[in-house]
Amino acid sequence: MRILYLALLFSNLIASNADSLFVRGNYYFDDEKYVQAARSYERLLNSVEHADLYYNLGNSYYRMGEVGHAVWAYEKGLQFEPRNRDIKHNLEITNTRVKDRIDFPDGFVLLDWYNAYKNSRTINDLLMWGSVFLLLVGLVYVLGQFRFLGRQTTVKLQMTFVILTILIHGICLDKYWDIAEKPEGVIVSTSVNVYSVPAVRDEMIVFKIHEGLKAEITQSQDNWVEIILLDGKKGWIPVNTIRPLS
Amino acid sequence: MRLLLPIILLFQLVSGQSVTASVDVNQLAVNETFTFKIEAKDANNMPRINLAPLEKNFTIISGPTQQTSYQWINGKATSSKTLTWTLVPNKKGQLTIPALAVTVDGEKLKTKPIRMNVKGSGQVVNKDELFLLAEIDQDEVYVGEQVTVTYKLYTRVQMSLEDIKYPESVGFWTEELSVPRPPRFNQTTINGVLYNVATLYKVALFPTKTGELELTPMTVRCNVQIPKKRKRQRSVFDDPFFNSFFNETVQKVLRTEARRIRVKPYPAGQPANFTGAVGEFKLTASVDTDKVKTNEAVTYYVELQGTGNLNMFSLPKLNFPETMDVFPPTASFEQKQLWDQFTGNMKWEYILIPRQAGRVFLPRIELAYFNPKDEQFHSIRSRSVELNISPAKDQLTSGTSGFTKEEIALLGQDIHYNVTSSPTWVERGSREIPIWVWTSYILAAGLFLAPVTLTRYQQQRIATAGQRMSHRALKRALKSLQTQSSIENVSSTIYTYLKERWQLQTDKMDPLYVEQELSGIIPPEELEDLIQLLKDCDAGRYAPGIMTDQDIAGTAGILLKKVDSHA
Repeated sequence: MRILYLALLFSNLIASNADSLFVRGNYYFDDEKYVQAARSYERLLNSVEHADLYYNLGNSYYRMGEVGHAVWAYEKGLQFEPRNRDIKHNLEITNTRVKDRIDFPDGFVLLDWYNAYKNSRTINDLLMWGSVFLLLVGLVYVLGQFRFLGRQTTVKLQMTFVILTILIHGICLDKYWDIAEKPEGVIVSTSVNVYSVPAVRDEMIVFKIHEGLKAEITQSQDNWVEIILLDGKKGWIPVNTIRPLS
Repeated sequence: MRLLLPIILLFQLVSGQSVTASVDVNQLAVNETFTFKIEAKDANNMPRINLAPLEKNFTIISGPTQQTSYQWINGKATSSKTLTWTLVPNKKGQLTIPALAVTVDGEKLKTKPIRMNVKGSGQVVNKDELFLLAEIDQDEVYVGEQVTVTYKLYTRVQMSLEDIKYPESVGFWTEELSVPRPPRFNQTTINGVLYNVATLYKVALFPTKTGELELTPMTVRCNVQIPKKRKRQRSVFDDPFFNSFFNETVQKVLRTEARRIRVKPYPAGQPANFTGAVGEFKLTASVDTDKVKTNEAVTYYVELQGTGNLNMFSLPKLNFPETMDVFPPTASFEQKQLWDQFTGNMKWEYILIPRQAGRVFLPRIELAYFNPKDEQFHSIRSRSVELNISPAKDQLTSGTSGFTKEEIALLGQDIHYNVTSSPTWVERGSREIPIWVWTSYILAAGLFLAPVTLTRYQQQRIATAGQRMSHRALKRALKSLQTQSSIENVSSTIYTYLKERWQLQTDKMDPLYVEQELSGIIPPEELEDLIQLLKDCDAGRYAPGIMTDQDIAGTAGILLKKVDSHA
């Protein structure tokens, strides 16, 4: 009982400290001291997280002109609240200032829908829906067992809910793999030379990328990471030029 | 001595090359030319000569011409290589062609000095009758300011131009100005004397450094017709009538006098972006079309018009927006002919290919220049050119690069404002699945198990009903004994107990049957007591009064407890 109380007290302490830092960051932001504002928010990030915090941080970086960091912060925020309109809007505006533009060729419509849905939900959202559908399957089963529902109805309802449950859990698993096995990062240096080897060699420059570009990190070695762009271009960049999203 | 001789011979053979310098005349007048020859015998290559010591007293009019000759003398081949110059002495008096260092086939040799006797020039052609003038418009200028030098030939005698050696002045950027070719003679009077004047050469000189700069003199060689000198005083032909038939052609070299120009540094206040433009300029910038689409080329013209050292400075580097590809500019220059001031039009053409749609401002060009007329620095700027780049039609659909329609709509917008209220913080890294998600899963699992467990439970209850009864048999029996202690009840209670406890499946219960069923399960003496009690009860039922009900109930209770412990 006492331990629980202490834990509660401690978390309260963290929360109040966090609140004051957050307020200070907002104060700096209103005062157009964006560097200090960003610093406050970044400090806050050491202990706590929230979509709103990433949102404010992104705004500060945007005002500072740090497109890369701003994109990073908004993307982080969207990980928590993928359907937050403000974050989405600000990320879109920031993306117009990103120099590298990589567009997919139009894909299969259903696949696009699927990806859009997957990207607009968090794992917890998906788990919630999954559990609700599973609950419904169980309910229908019980009702069927006790003859509250007709045999035909039971089978139909049960099939529907089973399919939905499997689907949702499949998406959830897919998303989990995306996060766990495809770590992404955002370029934060103004302009980065991408080398074909993890070493600075002028003749090995494959291409050049700029801040704000999102890239998948495939492997790392010493102070270098290998990135792969959406269009499949691959190369090595120094680790400090990219900020990981995981 | 005998040994030495072949060595000397060998040495002579090796160093067989010899060099001789010679002139065709050594008695001549100033402005008369002579030929200077250097001949190297048995040389494989042309000799290399340093003529610098010579140029103090003599000027090279032309040359060198190279000549190689072979000769057979007494069946032996000799070859010689000859270099020939045409020289003119610079002054009168006893001059010496100094010993010159000649390198022949890697061997260093020296020529012998030659004495020259140079007389005054007066008697051949009077200086007033034929001379060359270099006219300078100003002799004190700023760096980069134009000095116009006009070389004019004044003549009163019959002459023809042979050769002009154009000056190449050190420390100047030279731009030739146009003069009529061949030179056209005009008449002009100087101090009442009529002259034929021709402009031979006109240059615009732009000094590139400060200080006293010297103009290199121009040398012109011409043939002058002069009357033949009378060799014999009293001749039949000593008559003016004949003189015209006996004109003699004399080669004469004319030189301009050395002129100096003082070059001043700029006054203070030089702007940072000054790149050396001196004069007066105008800048214009334009594009060839204002309907621009992405991925379509646009030409950006930058034009610099004016008078001044147009070729001597460069435009500052232009920073084009990064959203467009820029090709290196092509520069062209158009000089205005027949202008004494170096005037023209420089044009740069940049090919731009915008890659993104949107409004873009092409960089303004700023040029700082020094105007020597008002002795001040000026700065001119071109107007900024705005480009409205519309996306190429196919791009909106395919979207290879550039903005999409939605993004263009976003271009002018600002970001939304911060969240001000503190949210409920999530501790960092605690990406836990919320409790209600777990609850929901557990509930679902429970629902699945519910029907199964319920059925199982029912079956279990049915299966274990007897057992449960047997467990509670004693309790019920004792309770029954307490509440009603009549003999009839005691007897039936014992029977019920035995039936429940050992699950005896029979309706006819009598002491004999009980003894038969329970023998071996409970100890014999207890069995005996039980049988006795049952018999007593039966007896008491039919013959009341032998035993009190209380006693029997008490005995039955104790006995049943004993018996139950063996079950």
